Amino acid sequence: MKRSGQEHTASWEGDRVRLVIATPENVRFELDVAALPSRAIAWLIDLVVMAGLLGTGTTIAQFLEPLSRGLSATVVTVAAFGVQWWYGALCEFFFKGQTLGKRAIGLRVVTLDGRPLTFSQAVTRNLCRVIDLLPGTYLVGGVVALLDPLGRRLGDLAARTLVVRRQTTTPPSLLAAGAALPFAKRPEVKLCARRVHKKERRAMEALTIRRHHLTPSVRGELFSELATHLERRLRCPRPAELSPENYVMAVMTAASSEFSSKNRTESP
Amino acid sequence: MEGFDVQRFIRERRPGWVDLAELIERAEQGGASSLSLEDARQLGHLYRRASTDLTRARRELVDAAIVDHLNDLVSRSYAHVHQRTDHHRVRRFLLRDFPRLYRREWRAHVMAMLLFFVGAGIGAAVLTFDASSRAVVMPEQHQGQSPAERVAREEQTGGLDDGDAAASFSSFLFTHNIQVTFLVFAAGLTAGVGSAALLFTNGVPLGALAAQYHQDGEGLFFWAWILPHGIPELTAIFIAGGAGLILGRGILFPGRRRRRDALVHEGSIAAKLVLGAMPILVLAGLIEGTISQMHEPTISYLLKLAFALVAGGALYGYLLFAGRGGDGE
Repeated sequence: MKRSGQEHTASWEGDRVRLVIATPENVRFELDVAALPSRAIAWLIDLVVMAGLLGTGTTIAQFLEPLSRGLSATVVTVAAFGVQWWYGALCEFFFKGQTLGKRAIGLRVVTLDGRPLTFSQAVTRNLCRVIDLLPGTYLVGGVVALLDPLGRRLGDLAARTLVVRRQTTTPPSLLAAGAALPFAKRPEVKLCARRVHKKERRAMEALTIRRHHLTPSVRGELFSELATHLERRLRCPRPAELSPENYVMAVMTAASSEFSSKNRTESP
Repeated sequence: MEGFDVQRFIRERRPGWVDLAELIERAEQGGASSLSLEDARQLGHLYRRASTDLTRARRELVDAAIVDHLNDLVSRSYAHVHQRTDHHRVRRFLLRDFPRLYRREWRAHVMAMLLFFVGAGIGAAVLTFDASSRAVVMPEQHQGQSPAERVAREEQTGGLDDGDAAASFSSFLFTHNIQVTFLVFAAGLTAGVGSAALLFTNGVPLGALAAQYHQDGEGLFFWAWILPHGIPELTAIFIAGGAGLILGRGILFPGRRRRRDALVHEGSIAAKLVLGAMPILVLAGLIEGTISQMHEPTISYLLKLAFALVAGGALYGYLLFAGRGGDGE
């Protein structure tokens, strides 16, 4: 095989299966293997889209009927044929591994080495769907996908592809802003921040990074819990006008700059 | 590793991640060609930076959310940086790679052909020796009328009396043939059994039909009707059926490979064969919709046979000789 330098392995983390890929730059990254239920939903959406396309074809054919019977019949046959055999392949080739259903659900077909699929791969995995579909309810493909560690159906196996989940995250940020900044710069806060343990720093960072993904009530509760703990242990009272969230972020910022300046003085 | 400052790491590296995310977003929307040369260079640069950051973030055991984000960035940009395009390969594939592949896998083609003609032979034999088997071995639309009746009817008009009907008929045939071709290929996933069965069962009615026309003394009409499109059409079906058998070969005889690896390897060969058979099917569909539907007195049967010979000769000339010599063969 030509692609000798690239190896891929599956790794499990709870019920989350990931494909580990090593790039030529010798960097490892992981792809989240899509679970079957999400693929089934994407397929249902695709079915609706395909039915819509067929319906459009038939409607156009009806309008053409008075003009030419032959032409109208041709439109119907070609529409049925195109939708049945080419919808998936063309979508996946031109939209970088996504049919409309997969795009809606956030799934994507990629090659086993993490790249977009080629034309012949898109055709292979979509032609083999006839067999995967047997007996009309995806039984064959479903069983094969359940047995395969990477959830591939027969078409995927033959085409060297798999379906992955694409989570698009916003770049994480730890920047404190607003009222937190002046508080972090106070000398007594800096002094308190020296006593912050590594574990506490991690907790503050972890919470701050995730704060936008939490529901407001959970977010407020976690921040105030952490703020109460820090207040007590660092003996650094929180001013009433400062929210627990800003307080935590201020201590975190102070701990960090304190941390790096301490490092700087120790290094020579 | 005490010295690693996550906040500083994020503060310093985050602008690069934001730029990279924006570039990928654009590339994913409009394809890699929508990026200017400068953008593409920037993408490569930022991708390598993000790769370094990912490695570093993992090594320093920083928060999982950061690792996840970097992982996502790297996997998405990797797809664009290491993209293969096969836009310019179509020509080379049709003129060189496909005929070469066909010649390398000629055994599969011959095997598919044998299966089909064994079916055809049995169909012909059954019909010859037992006339009551008609209902079983004949295609439905041919059961209603005898060959003599049909020939008489077609020759009244010379065929092709209705342009509209011909157009829709030819598009029907065209899509039907492609479906058979796709099926006979995909059925290879059943360890080749499905492909073999399909080839065999598609051969039976053809053989029966041929026997019946000969019994009625309409052999010339039959061959002039079938051969012009039949040669390219059956060739395409044999190629696809052979591709199905190749898939089955991977499943049944993986050799020293794992079954799965064997299937992947044979699958890529089989897929190429099927793709190459497409244009041949288009050719067959065109002929079937036009010349095959014309009969005497519009066009002489001998002329149709001559046409079949030339078209078939050209097709096999292409399959057997295109892309010979040069590198790689």
